[in-house]
Amino acid sequence: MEEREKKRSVVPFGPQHPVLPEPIHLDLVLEDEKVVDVIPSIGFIHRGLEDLVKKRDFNEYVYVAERTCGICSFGHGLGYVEAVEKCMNVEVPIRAKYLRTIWSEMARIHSHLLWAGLMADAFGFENLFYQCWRLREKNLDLVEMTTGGRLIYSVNKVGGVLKDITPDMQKVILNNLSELEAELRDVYKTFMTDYSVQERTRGVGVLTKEQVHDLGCCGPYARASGVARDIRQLGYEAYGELDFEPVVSNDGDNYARCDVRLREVFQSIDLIRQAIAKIPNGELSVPVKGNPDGEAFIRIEQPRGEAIYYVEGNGTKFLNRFRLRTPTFANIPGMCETMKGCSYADIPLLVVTIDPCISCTER
Amino acid sequence: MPKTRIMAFTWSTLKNLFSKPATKNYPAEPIRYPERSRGHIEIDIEDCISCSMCARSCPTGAITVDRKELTWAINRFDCLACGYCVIKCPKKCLHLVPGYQTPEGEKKEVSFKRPAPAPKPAAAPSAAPKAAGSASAAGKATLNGDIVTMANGKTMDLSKFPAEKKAEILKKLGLDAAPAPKAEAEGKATLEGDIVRLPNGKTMDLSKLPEANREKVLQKLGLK
Amino acid sequence: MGKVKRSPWLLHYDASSCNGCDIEVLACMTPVYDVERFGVVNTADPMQADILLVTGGVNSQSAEVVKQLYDQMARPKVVVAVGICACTGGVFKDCYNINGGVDTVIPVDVYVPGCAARPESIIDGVVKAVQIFQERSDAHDKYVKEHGESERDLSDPDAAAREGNPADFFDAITKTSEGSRDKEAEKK
Repeated sequence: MEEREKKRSVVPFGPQHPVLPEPIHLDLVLEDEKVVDVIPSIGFIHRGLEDLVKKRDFNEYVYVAERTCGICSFGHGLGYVEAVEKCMNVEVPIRAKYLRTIWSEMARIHSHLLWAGLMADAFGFENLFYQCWRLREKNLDLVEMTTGGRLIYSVNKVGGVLKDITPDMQKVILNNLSELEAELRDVYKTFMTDYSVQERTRGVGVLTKEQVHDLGCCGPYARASGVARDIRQLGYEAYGELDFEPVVSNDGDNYARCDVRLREVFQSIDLIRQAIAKIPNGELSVPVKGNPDGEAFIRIEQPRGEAIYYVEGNGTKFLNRFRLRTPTFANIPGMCETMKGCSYADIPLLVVTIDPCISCTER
Repeated sequence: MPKTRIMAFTWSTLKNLFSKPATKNYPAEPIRYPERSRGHIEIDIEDCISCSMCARSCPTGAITVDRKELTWAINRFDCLACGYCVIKCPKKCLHLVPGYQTPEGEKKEVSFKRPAPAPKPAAAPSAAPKAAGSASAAGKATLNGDIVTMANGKTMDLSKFPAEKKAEILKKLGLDAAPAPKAEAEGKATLEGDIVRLPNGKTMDLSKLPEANREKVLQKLGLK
Repeated sequence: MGKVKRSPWLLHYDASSCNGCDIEVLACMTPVYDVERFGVVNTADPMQADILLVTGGVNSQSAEVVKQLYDQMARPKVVVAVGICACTGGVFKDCYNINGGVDTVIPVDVYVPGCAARPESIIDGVVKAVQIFQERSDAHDKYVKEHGESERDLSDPDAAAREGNPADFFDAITKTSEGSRDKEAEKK
């Protein structure tokens, strides 16, 4: 019997694709419907915004740093502002820290629900996609009530925050979050127990704990493989005073990642409740004098993983350098590793499970 | 092994089928904004002083201020609604209000013109040197106590300079002929309790100075 | 809104955007803001789409992709630029890699401002685009009725002079000076 030679073909994926919210280009090397190799190429969203520090002074740059990404927007504003505050040795009032924590967790809820919707859309379950995004709108109503914007919050400034959450607003937040939690239980049950969802997600895209360490993955992507690391445990902002444990699962496949992210939404709701119960009275911001001089290095836990912010000042009002390393950049090698050996139809799912935020990665 | 159910979502689907639609009936019903919603920038144009702080602080450069024409223009298709100009405005005449700019077929700017400022009234101190007889013809500096009013209208407080510098400046401006008696003629320091009122209008609280200095000051001002 | 004869299909592409406006465009498709009430469906195939929604400024790599998508769409077509980055370049105007808004590459019909553009604003923009599409569609029907099939014999130079270039009336026509077709012709 002749051995039939398997021919390899290269199929381009992206930058415009129904399942991708952002442009990324992958060249998939296929052998008969099985993916053998993946070559990513990025660069469609590179705007060069780190260079703008030289043209916008350090107070104004918050508005640019926030717009690095529309989904992780609050996190980027927060990281930049924290790095500049560390550089200038500014101590932020305690109430501002609690407010930042509350908004940070709201951003995490909105991001994970967004991801859950896109994941459901990726395996064709459009009804679930709409339900997740309908719940997300409830969260966005709370955000708009407190900050004024739906995606871009614009409440951070060097030295504190610009707006307050009054006790009336706190009551509304607690009510709405309870409703959201009740409805989310249904969605969570569907994700975890539905037969068709399990067929598409169990056993697909497995990453072991050793592979995660070798490839340097972070965030929920790594926590789904058993690595119990959450940068919020470092205690930045008010996290040191709140009580939580990292959400971990041990399977390492797509199913585990769904599980980890949805359980993190419940954890965030709990954290917001704790923060609102403990929030002290105080000022919202301190005045900041002088210019940043020196270097500072900050890590925060974005919804997608660990983000690192580096700021260098030279004594003038324009910073010398601002550098941001995003979690998606660390997860892309993990994604390429999971794709080798999988079937062609699973590619969109595997791209969506890392929660790609290409605009953060390319800035 | 987790539980597996077929059609796990059926109950939720039926519930949604028979409950109120979640859709906001947008074009039919108007939007209801929360109070803090950030939409667009509005200006109280009468209070504007054309200082251009807003134009300089805008991250996108959407605001243009023309000092000569006394206009303030904003390109709403470029405005982020971040609120930085509202923070930076010294007169607090900018406000960030709800309501978005409707989509249009072409980008355009919206311009406001402020009323021209009233001409500055003639300052009171410059009237007195005429009475004291010093040259007050247009184009020459005038001296009133410690304040020099220059030909271009700017004022300079000589008490801030040391004595030699003061003499130099007066010589340069041709005012060194004005002797001390002129100061006495119309601008004399007066003492009210612990407050000394100087000819240039400034007040000095003697109780804040140490004992030794108080005597010196009173002697210098000719109040002792 | 008037009677709409055909339901235009949307194609959404993210040029160099921060993603905020894209998420709001996707939020328009979800139950709370439902743009499908107007007959508009989000498709992913440029050859089946009538309205192109572009978000974000344009950098050197995405300029080619946007141009290719625009060319792949069949006439009549309408282009909507969503967000201030697509209108003028937004906050990133001064960046070294951004050329400007979308109208540096393709002609734009409707500009939707906002950062991130509200879903209601996007619905307004889409409704305007549907109306413009309706006019162009009627004009296209008339053209086809008068001149037979819209396929012309390209080897015949007189045909262009006689019938006019369909691109002039069925493509998105911009009113700004930055992206007008005349300017491109002048450059040549």
